[in-house]
Amino acid sequence: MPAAPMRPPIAGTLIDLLDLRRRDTPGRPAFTFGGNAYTFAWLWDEVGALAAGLAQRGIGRGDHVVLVFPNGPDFLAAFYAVQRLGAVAVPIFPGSSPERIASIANLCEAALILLPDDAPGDLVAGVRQQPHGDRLARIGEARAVGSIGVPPPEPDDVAYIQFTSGSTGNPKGVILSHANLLTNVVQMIEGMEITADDVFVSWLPAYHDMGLVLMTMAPFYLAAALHLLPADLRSVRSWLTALAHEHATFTASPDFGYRLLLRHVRPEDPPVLSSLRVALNAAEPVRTATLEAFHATFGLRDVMVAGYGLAEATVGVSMWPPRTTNAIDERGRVSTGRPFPGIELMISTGDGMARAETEGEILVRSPANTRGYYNNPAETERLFWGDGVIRTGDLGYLDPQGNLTIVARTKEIIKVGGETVAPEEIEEAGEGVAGVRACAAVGIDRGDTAGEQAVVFAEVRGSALRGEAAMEETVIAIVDAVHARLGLRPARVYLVRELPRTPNGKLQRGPLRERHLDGSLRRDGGLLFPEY
Amino acid sequence: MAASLDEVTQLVRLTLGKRTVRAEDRLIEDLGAESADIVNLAASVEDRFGIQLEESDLPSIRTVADLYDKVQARR
Repeated sequence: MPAAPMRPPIAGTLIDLLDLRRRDTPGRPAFTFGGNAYTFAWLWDEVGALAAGLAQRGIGRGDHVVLVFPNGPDFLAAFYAVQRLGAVAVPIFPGSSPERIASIANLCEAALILLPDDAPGDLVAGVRQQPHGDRLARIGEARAVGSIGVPPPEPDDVAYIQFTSGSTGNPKGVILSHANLLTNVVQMIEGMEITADDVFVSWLPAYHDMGLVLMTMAPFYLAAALHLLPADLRSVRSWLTALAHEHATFTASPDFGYRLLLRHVRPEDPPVLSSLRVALNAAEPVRTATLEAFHATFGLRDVMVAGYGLAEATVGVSMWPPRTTNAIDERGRVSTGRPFPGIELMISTGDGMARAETEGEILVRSPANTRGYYNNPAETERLFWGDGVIRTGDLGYLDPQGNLTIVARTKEIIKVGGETVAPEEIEEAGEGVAGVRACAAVGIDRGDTAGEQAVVFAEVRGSALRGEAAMEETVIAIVDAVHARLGLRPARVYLVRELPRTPNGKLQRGPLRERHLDGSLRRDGGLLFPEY
Repeated sequence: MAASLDEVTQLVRLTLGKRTVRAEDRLIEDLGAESADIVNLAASVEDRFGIQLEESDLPSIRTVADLYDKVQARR
């Protein structure tokens, strides 16, 4: 199905956009944070002062600047100051260790590592001890008065590099230009029917693609209201409070964020989310149980919709149309809708393109596609299926109307006895068992006649941990639940203290599998039951 | 490692997801095991008791007691 037409962006670069905003809507808040409003005029001035200071430090066009900031005004000012110089922002998780910060800085050959003024002293000292650790500044030291003296960027200049951890743990830097970002912003605005009247509430990390591009650039583009919250898994109730208090119309999170939110709803909470138009559920497999529980808990209909995307296509690729009932297939998989305008989806079977309803690898043709991974020609070559078309590494199918349904991440799919199973299906079944906080299913090849086996690791709590009888009952209940849903039993179920996750809370099956196979999971006391 | 019948039945309970397992239960007919489950059971007893079962052992394992006998025989 060819791509639907899209309008060209109103600005060629992020700086053109910010310039437009500070001229057209100078007094309107670009965002609020911590009870304060920050106008476009404020942002423009702050960006100018920081850009002047960074230019005095020799930062210019094409230089890479690692940004280690939590959500807040400093991050956005620093991000756009880097843009103003035609330099490249490399935002990373602010809780990163000194080694991780140095390793990313090294990978992208950073000219500068920029930190908040209140960055802990031991973090700063730790980074300084690393190779190239001397290329470090706190944001307060980076402001200056005076002219910038560097021309603004061009649309095809690289704006930022998104490092993706991936399940293998080797970070890859996705290169995105100003044109990529603004194109994807328009694609999402049109596909999600976002308008200037929308009210965004975001607790997603602004230093990561969905939180940055969808949840800050889209509202900036339209001068729509944005209420930015700290991205903190421990303060999920502040998200709920802000959704109600700000009369939010638009929010987004991976499925686990909504599950966490639903666990923290209290009976006395009033169902005050009636203003909510879209609760996008994306960046992780979407569960029917989450959809149902969200709507039931808040007395809403057709507000939570599933979406799909990846950093290699900037971020957003498809979403189920707002205010319509999200289709769910007979295996309980939630459709992620039609691709946004300007995006074409194809399904490759390996020999050719699949017809409707046939599973294969999802391919994306889009003007928002990356030009490749930074300094990684081998992975870049693997990424491109053909000219302008990238492989997603995800398995899915299109229905006759062109709606996409994700089946699995190709590299994480488990093959047992000639059948393919998505780990998420096993995990969702296991997580229905009392006392189970989360499950991870991985395929482990025993290399003998047993072939690949599905092994489940279940993070348990409370009474499920009290004594061997309780643990045995939990394992039996998980095996039974998986069998009831999928007609097959996992080879083994382990109860574990904690499952490995990325800083964003995303399950890391690859590292878990490695730690199980090399024995370190058991050595560290991570495996609770059984003892074989 | 010494294997008791209790340990073998626990292993069957955990692998097949059954709360009650008796020595005389037939794995397929009574406990609903499929061939993949038998292979998994064999792999689990190997890991649990540090033994090596032969592929030729599998067809003769019909009941939980048969599995226990094989484990004893291969120790």
